[in-house]
Amino acid sequence: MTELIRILIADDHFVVRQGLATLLVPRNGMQVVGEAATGAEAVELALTLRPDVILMDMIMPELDGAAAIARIKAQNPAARILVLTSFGEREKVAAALQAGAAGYLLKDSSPDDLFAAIRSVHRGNLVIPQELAKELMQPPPSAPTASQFTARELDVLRLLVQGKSNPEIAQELFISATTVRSHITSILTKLNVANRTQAALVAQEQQLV
Amino acid sequence: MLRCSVSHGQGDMATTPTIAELESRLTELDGRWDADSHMKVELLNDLAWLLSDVDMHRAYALGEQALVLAATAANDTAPHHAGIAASLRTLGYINLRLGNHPLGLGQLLKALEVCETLHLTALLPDVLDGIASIYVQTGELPVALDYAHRQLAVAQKIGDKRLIANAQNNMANLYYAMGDLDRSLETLQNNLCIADEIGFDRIKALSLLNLADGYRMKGENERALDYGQRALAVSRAAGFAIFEIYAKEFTGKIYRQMGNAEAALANLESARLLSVAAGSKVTEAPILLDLGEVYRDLQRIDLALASFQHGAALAAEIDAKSEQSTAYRLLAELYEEMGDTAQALAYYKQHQALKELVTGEKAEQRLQILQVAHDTKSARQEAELARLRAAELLSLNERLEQEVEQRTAELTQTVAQLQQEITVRERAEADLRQFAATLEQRVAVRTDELATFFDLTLLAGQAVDLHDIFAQVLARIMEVTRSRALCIHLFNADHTALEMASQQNLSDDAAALLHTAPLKSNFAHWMQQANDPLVTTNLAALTLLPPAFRLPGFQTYLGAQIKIGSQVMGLLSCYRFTNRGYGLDEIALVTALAEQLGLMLETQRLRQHAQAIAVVEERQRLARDLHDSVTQSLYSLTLFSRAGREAAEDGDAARLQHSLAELEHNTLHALREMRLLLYELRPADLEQEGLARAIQLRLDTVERRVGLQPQVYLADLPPLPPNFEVELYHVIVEALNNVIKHAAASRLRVELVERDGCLHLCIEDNGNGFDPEQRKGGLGLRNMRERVARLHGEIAIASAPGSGTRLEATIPYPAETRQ
Repeated sequence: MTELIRILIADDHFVVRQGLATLLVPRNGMQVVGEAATGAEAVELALTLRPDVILMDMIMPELDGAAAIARIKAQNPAARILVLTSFGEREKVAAALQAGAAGYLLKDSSPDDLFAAIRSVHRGNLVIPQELAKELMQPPPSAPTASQFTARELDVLRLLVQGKSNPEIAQELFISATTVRSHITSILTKLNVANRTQAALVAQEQQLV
Repeated sequence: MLRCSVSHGQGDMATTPTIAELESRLTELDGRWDADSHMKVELLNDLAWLLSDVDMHRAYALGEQALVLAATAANDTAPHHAGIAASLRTLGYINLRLGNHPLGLGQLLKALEVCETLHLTALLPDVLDGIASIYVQTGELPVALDYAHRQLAVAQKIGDKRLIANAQNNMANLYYAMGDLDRSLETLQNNLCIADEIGFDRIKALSLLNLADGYRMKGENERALDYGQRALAVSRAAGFAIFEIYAKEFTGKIYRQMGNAEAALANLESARLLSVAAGSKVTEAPILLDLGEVYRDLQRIDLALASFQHGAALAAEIDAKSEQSTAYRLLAELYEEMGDTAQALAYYKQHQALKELVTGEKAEQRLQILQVAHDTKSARQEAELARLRAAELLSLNERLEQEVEQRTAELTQTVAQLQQEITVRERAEADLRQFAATLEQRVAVRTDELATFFDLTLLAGQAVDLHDIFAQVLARIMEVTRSRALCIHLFNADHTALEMASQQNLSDDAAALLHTAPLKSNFAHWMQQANDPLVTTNLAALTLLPPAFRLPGFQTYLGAQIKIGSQVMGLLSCYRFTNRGYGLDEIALVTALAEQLGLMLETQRLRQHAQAIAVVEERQRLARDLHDSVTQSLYSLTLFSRAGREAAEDGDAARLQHSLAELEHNTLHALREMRLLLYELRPADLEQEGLARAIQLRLDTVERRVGLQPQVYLADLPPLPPNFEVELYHVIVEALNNVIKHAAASRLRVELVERDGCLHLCIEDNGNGFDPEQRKGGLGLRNMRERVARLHGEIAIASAPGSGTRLEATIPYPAETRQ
């Protein structure tokens, strides 16, 4: 019989830790050796327990996932860390992998996927679900910059941020309402947002106007 | 050497009329009343000049007559300057002859001044000659030499050899007087040549005489005798009686020097006889002395004595003091030789006295001459200064006049400006008085206007229904502008028409007409950009407005755009029945009010926009909360379900039981969290419901739905200030959320009562509890503490793991509701 995979769970949600502890049992070739509710605890336990695999949530109090991963890898470069989180944003995945995570798994994946990922990471493989991998392969969608927009589009965007309606924008810029609409369509596409309110929010965040 | 030059330029002029001719012409002229004074002056002068050699007294009288006539110039405006100069010259000459040197010098210097001023060159040589002669007489030899040089220069300039000869003759005299005998003789010989060349007998004779006397003095007797005989010949031939006498006298003296007493006596006696014949006592006196000396040489004492005494008497007679003095000396010497010392002493005394007198006179004269010269010079300098000063004064005067003129012009202009200024100021004062009169009234109106502004601003700041705001605004505008009807139009959604947003006092028909006004042509264009208000007292004719706006019965209209910056939003219309137009103040006021409305609309719009953004942000927060709570619970349900299935497969009853229990528990937890999120999506409206009702609503929606049966004690509280209620409500909700999220409690008690002027809040559960020491800094707890602190209250949390949590807050009643 093969040896059990010794696992450290780092997650601030009690229910998740409980569920994982119930499932990661010797029956499945695994054993939970420790639980951490914060990033700091995870770093400490990783050092003392020397688990085979660390299951790491990305959002935690005291020290977030990426920072905890970096610390653990700094202390023990051989540590194998599998991120288990509910956030699949590109930046978070990239940050985790950059910090030294060996795998990245979303919490909406099945228990079978979880077992497979733990075993794969334990064997020294890199585990990235196909949908995340695909996203990572895409060139990074750079933050929208003002240079992407025509001068007229920026005019429209500026008035849009002020909360002006299409007729108001048309009146102010001395153009027809139809033209305004086509400018706004173009702006929404370039900002990759669904509506004008989101467009206004992004424009303000990125300080486009 | 002859003691004076005895020379006038005119004396030998061939064209000069004789004395007789002049006398007859003068007599003829005196008989005429209409005689020309200039002509008479000239005639008198000519006659006086000719007579000056012959009859000095008459000549002097005529000269004075000419001078007076010339100076008064009876029939002419200007004095006859040339006449004055000529008469002064003649008078000066005569005074020179008479030995009145100071007087003569004064006259001649005056004549010189006139000649120089008027450039009367013809007279100059004579005048300069006279002046030089006087200076010679008074011993001022260098000055005399200076004038003689000037005389020569003028003569050379005129180019008349007679004049040159005259001048040179003078020079010769001067060199002699200065002791330079050789140079004198040289000049005389030179002059003799000139006189020979031009046949100037007078100078020729004079030069020969002087040469004879000069060489006698040098001891060259033969040569002297030769010149003397030539002088006699020339004088005799030319009829110069006086010169003939001199020639004989000089010849006699030469012979005496040569030791030839016979010849000396013969010539001197001849000269004496000629003098007597000519009546010339001037020559006779010195000749008598010469004779006396010859007699003394011959030891013919009686004759010598008689001659000396005769000479002395003659000299005394003609007041020739120098000859008289010489005579006394000779007499004294003679008596001494004779042994009559008493007589000798007496003559010596006379001689000495006379000599002193002459010396004194000479000194006196010299002093006077110096004075005259000085006076004349000073007078000239003063005259020059006066002339310069006069010129200066003249130009100064001109300048002053110019300045005065300029200043006058300036002053005139200034006065005009001042008058204008005064007029303007008076007008301004009148305006000011009028303004002051209406000021009080204006202040009242302005106060009203400002109140309106204040009201509007206040209204705009409150989130009230726009329709209400418009109604209130219109009521205020109606009041301050005294309009009869008002309405507000705003653009419709696609800017194709104006829609009425509010109106005041419009009839039903008018309101219906104005409900929607399409934007067309010029009006559309006018409304598209910021424009000044439309004002008319003839509304029917204001075609720019759509017909609907031109309400029948109204004459005066004021339409101001409602705008923010350059962006037009609508139109504020004010109507009056009569044609009493809106004043500038009112137009300005309505314009400002319309802009204030624009500001209100903009504020409203921005608020809506902010709300829209807040909604989006709230949705995002909820999404995060879902992720954070429900998602985690549901994931754990997946894990527990899988564990349960494995347990069932394995026949592991204990593990199955555990998994199912966890499933139940976590499902319930997820359900509670869902409730909470649903509640947060639609929270109780505190403002509408009041605090107690809002708390009840929350408990009903969340806690009771998830199976908690809370015990609730809510006292019947008086109305609390809105912000107080808000803070308190959030404290309660936060506490309840904590219970739902973390406590997993089965019992809950909520109490809010009033005790001792304080509000007491207590929320207690029997759930998991926690260690307050470890969880001090939780976000929810911190928020609660801050809110309670803002209400000046205190908060206490009692909890321990496994034994529930109890939150207690004591908050003083707000002051405004205490009684």
